[in-house]
Amino acid sequence: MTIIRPSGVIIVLSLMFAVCAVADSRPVEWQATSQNGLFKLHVAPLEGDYSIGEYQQWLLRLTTPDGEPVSDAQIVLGGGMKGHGHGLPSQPRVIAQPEPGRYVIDGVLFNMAGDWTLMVLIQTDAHAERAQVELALSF
Amino acid sequence: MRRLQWTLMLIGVLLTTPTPADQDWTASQQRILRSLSLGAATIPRSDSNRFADHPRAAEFGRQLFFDASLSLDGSVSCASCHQPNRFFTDGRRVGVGIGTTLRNTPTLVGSAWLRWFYWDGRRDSLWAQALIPFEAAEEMGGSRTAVVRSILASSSYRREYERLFGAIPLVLRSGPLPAHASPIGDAARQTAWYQLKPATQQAVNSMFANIGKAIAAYERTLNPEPTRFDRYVESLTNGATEDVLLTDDELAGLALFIDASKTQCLQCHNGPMFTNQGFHNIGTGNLDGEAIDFGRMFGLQAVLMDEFNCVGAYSDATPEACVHLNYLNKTHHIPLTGAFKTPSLRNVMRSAPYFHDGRADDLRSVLEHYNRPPDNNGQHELKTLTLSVRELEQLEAFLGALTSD
Repeated sequence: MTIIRPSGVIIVLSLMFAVCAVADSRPVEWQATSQNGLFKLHVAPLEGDYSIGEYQQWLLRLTTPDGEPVSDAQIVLGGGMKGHGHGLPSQPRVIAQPEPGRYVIDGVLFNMAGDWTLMVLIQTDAHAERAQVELALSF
Repeated sequence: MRRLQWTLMLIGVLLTTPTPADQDWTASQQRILRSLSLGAATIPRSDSNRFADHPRAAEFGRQLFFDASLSLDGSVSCASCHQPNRFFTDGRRVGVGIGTTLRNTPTLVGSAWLRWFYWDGRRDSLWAQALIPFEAAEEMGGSRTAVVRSILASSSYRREYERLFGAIPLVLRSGPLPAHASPIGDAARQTAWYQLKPATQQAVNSMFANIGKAIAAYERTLNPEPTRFDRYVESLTNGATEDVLLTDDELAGLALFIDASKTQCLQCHNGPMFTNQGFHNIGTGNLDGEAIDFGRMFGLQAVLMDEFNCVGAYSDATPEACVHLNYLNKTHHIPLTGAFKTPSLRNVMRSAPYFHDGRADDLRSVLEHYNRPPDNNGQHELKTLTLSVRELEQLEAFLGALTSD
């Protein structure tokens, strides 16, 4: 017969609470690799958190696979919700590049929670690549 | 063995999904509830209307709102369809002015919170919206010159207008305007409009826009009062839950409303006005027949062309402040054909009938539409739900708790 010691119960409960805590926190940054692996992307709200239904600025960090910043790329954004068959409600665009490889995107609006796809077209002098960033957003 | 049983029981209790009756919402559920509550949410600014929050403009706008003499035959005012005792709706399937429109009259309560106006979003401000009914043949049937003439002819209106907006432009004092002239409307009105000098057209448009801005200032005062739902969320936030605020059925309905695994309500009906301000195809588009209505497909183009939009000559906003218009997705998506604006759910129990054409007489019909969406009306976003009759009753009960006191 298996005997569960009190210390074991505490560990189990601690793990459960840890799981609950994780379930209640929400990711606020996402990464992706472009279609041919030439670029890595990292996107996150500029202010550190996002709000469903509000226009916000986000930051896109663009690097090579080795982590070198990719500057002065032409970036076009689009996307939508595959599960609903509709596009983005807004047309976000890059408005500034404050540091090498860092692009400020304005006009970001997600008006639903759920799975959004952000399509990013990246054009540099040498390459044209497409990337898909899959965002799971919640309230 | 007994210790194992106790442990398993304890784990079982902890793993039980909180029921609404427990009022034991998870942290993420509480976040959702707060996002839906009026709480500390504030009315968005209206940068394109510098009179938006001007009390005197609101009073002037109130008088205009109720004035039927501004219509073609003196029979219709804004209040004919937006009736105060019906939460500023009319109880009809579609609006009826001088003629019959194709669309249901939306409430004005909470309209200050909205980004887009009309079911298809063809206007981007309350003031720009307020101008259309004056000239719509089925609504008030008049024209912008007729409205301006009415203001000029009334000593009290003229005095109040000048007090708010400054002197009447000289070009409008030099001679009578045509009885009816407008760039929209029948051929006679358009001909009369294009015979006016550009300076006269501009002066008429400017006065017309100011009249819209005054009406909008009044409409911005029509804000939803807190509901039992708001007070319930407030009590949760204060840690002093009052059981009596919501019934068990209403709580169960609320739990369903925010449960993405059971319903999709929250996808579109979110935020303090219970609308994501978006346009969605829910299979209600009338894609053929006499009442053909493609919804957002044309509204998207119309708002961009509107001379009274946020970046237009009559707006008080700097172009940079027109965020919604500047960043509007101008690409036509197939689902926009037959898509309509998500309406607010505040006071929804009192604003029947429902949908853009008022096809649903009661909330149960609406809920049944979402539970079993049509499968043969083009492309829409809805997925079939599997809600029981009991669950539909609970959802309906919750929607009733969104009625202002």
